[in-house]
Amino acid sequence: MASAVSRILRRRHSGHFMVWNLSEESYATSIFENTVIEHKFPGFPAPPLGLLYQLCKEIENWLHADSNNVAVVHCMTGRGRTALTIACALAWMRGGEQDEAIAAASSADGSATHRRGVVVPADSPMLALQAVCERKGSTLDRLTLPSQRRYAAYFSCVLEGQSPVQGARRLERVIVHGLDGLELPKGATRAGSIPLQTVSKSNMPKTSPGAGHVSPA
Amino acid sequence: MQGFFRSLGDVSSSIASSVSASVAHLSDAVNMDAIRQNLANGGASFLTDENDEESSLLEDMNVSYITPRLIAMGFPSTRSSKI
Repeated sequence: MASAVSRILRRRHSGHFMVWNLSEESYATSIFENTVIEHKFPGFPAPPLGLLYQLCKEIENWLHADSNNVAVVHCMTGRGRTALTIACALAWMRGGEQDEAIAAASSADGSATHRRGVVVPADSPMLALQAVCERKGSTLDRLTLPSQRRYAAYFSCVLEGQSPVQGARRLERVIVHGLDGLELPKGATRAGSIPLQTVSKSNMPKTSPGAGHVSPA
Repeated sequence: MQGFFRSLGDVSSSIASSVSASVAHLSDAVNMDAIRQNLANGGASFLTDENDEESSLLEDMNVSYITPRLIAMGFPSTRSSKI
């Protein structure tokens, strides 16, 4: 299957495709002519905001380098992470293209002002995500996780020029509403389940799964 | 005054050409209508230009042209179960 994909990509876009692997699983990049960029982040969430920005820049640079270039993005399923990344790239590039138009127009009368991505509507990444889901023949709810949709909203804020708050944050509690369908752990003496939690910061786990005090809400 | 208007005309024609050039490049714009139109005019036609067998093969392999230049796909495993 991989060779079939590679064969089609090579035939259609020979020398002009770049693959972004967001799957956390490495493979022999030779199958794609060694044009694979790999980014790993733990679990199955959205890419961290900084990485999302980096991905958008990489994709933008690649597409702008040659009008024949195409960007191929994949995760494990080709759903959530892939859809979010492509949606954010679409939103980001629109900002960039508008920026170029603004810069070109303003420099023509000698009053060049360089503004970046100021015309992008706040909800553009979410609209783009919705469009990507439609293109995949699915819906936002089916294709993406809540955290991935939340990151689309975060990216909207970034495009609006808002910086993420850098101050210290204290996670006091996590409330889970309903755990239907979970199997009971072996040896459980009463109805219930054992939640696991992992808190990550900057792509690094800060606590181990299961760490911390867990009690019924 | 005449010079001012002439330069203003130059600027406006420059803006117009810049904007039209930009619009021509906005195939990846995040406007739902534009995306749909793009998919209809660009992405879809790109696929239909190819033979149907290959298009359905791409679909089977979880490969989607979101736009003609942005492609989403599943894990390209050598094991067919992961595609």
